[in-house]
Amino acid sequence: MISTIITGLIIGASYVLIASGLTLIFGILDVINLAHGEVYMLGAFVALLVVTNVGLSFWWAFLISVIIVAIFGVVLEKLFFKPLRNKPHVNMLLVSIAVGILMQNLAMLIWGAEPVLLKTPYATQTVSLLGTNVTVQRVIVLVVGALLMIGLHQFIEKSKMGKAMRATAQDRDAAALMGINIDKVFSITFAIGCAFAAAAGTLIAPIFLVFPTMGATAFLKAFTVVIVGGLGNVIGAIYAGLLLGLVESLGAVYISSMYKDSFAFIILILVLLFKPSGLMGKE
Amino acid sequence: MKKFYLPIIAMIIALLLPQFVTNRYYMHIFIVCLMYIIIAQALNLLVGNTEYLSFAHNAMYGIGAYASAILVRDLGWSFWVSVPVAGIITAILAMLVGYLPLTKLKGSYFALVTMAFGLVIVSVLHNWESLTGGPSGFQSIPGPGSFFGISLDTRLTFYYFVLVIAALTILLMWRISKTKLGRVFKSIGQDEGLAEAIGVHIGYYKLLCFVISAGITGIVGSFYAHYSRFLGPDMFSITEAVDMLTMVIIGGMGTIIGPIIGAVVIVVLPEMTRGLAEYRQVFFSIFLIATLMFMPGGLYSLIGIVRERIFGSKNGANGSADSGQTRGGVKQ
Amino acid sequence: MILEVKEVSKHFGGLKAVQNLSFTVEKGAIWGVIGPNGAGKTTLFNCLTGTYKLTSGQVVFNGENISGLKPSMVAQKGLIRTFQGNKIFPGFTVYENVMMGADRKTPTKAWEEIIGTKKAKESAQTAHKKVMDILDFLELTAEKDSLGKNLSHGSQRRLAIATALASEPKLLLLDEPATGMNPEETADLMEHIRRINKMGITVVLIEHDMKLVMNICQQITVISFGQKIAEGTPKEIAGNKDVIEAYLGRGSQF
Repeated sequence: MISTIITGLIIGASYVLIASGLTLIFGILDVINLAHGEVYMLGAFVALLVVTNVGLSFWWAFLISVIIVAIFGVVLEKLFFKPLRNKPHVNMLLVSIAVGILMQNLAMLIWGAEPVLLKTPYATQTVSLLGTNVTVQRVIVLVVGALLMIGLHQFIEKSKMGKAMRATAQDRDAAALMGINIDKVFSITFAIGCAFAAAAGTLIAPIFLVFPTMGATAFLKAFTVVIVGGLGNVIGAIYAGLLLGLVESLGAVYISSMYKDSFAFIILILVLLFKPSGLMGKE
Repeated sequence: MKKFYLPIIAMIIALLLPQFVTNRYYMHIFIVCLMYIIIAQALNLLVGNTEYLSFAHNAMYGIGAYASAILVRDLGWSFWVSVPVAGIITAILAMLVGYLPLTKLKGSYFALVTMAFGLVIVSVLHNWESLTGGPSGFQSIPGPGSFFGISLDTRLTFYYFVLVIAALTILLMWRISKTKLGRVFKSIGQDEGLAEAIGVHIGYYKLLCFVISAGITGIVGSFYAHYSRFLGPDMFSITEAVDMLTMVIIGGMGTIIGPIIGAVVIVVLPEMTRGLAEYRQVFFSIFLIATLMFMPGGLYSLIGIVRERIFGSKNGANGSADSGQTRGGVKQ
Repeated sequence: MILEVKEVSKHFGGLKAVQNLSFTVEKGAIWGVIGPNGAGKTTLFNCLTGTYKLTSGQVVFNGENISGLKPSMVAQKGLIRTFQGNKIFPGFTVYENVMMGADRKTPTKAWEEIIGTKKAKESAQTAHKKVMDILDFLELTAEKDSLGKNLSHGSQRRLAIATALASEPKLLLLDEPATGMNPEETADLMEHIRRINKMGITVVLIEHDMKLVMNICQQITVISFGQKIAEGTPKEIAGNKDVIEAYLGRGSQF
């Protein structure tokens, strides 16, 4: 039971990381980045490259992946989202989905569809936690995930840029009038959002394998978390993410493991039908 | 009457085509093109005019297909009854799905809800094996049967059948664009708030548009089921939904000819580039991105530009004052 | 009494944009609503048309309580508004824009138009004539095939009014119709408003241009910080101390 809960929390933590990036981008730019799953996938592949081809350790892979993907996020924003900023939202939605499909297919062409394992020593070492044995990798996911979220929270609450971001999320025009550089805010938001997705991808890769379509399922989960937690609501995403992870994990063990992915669906449908503003509402 | 040149010539060519091209493979392509032309027209009614994106049209297509297939194969109904019923089932589902997001919630929720719906339907098609045959598919679907003595089970006759439906659909869309209803849809895409302020019940009309669009797509789905005699859940995945949107957008949103161009391009291109099959999605997505960013009027607007270069501009100072008929592309 | 605003209040959280506002407009009047920037005038219009839900109070139009109705319902009852700035359909031609207004009054159903029944054709003829008449009235005939987004500001302004007219309003709410107009255009506008009023349409307008307001309005309500501070004929308002103070206190034109 404990191990099931721990697994749930770990999966939940990865959901939280991906979803908080997605919800942050929505909250500030007012657009759903439909390529976010592919960004997560990109993070995992970059980490894979670093470990397998360059031969560096997992931690280096983590750092490099996060940095590269953060830069990628900025490029993405400048290239595709910025020019469409003043046009109707449908354009940005479509562009992001097209970019996502492009990335997925390019990944398929480059790496093939076969899942690959990101080898790290942590995946095999175990540690005793609350009476069960857990691999170190899983503990790393939890710990690093928590640290990142705390860091994000501090950044948004305390730093100057964080305040600028919050102001922009509330009222873009007012923020601009107050002298906030909206372009910069958007770039940084995208950078952080994508960095977190990459972090999730890298942390999870040693446990769940790396393959080009991993972004699709991940996006679905992240999307569910974002809707349930409330679009733009990072705290909501934390609760919803952990909740979803737990539901899936417990559900897989006690109800049916085949329909594991369906729980997200069902929750998504129910929320969209009955409380579309999310269980916690918009930030 | 001179502006009906093009459609009349096109119709004549389409009618005579099978007399000159008897290759079964090409007939198949023509039929698939026609079906997607109808879907593109239906989707364009929604996306091109109201500018609301539906990621659920793959699901509508699939629901129409499976519904009719089940009704005919397992319940013994006639094609001629199952098709309209499939359309109605799809329309009703569209009404349920679209009600909240279109009448009560803000803009982007609709796209998201349709996305979720689309994913659910694919999942249902995969998992409800007793009904749909699951991943191994739904087999042995009977053909359409006969229409007043003429069997529609052959490619030739089926081609004419779909051609007639396609022509009727295009005609319908064209007529709508010239009426009050068409203007209402277009006004919603331009400025919903203004439309509401002069008395348009935008929630009602958005939903109506979606329901019509979905219903037609469902009907085409049922055509497909009885044509291909086999259905598999992968035919209706989210990629399909994006392909449908791509057709509408690269062809030229909001126009009558645009969706035709878009459908033909998306259907024919992969066939012509068989060897590059793996690059298909890459190419499409780049095409879509390029259109969205640089050519919002789609391929149809390109034709207009080319025509202007060759024949000179039609309307001097007013630029492209085509009486608003061809309000091409995504809002500038 | 065509319009009764009864103790209408609109609060946005702690911000009291409109407070207990009341006034009554007689049928056939030209009524002005003035006040310094930020006084709550557009908010008031939004309350009247159903764009905003009232925090409290009532709006009665033609004897009917319309508080809480959706904007499209309010418009269908004959209360039509224009917006600040130039809100028109950018992708429609001038003709189509005005036709959108006329459409709201054509009796034919969608399917009749699609098939093209005799009734639909006749109704289309009538609508066409109506649109052309209105275009002529507002001097937009020459530009009838131009796209909305290509028009000059002045033309767009007149287009907005034309579209509103085409929907046969009983009461027209004009939000700052004279903004950015030179004296000549303003004089034209005044003439148009007078003629619209002579057609039997009650006009309520928000304006900053005092010359316009004083010239054509029969009654004026003055709002400051969301509250009514004065009401009366132009002459009474011009001499009212509170009004002068409200304006001078903000340094805006008077």
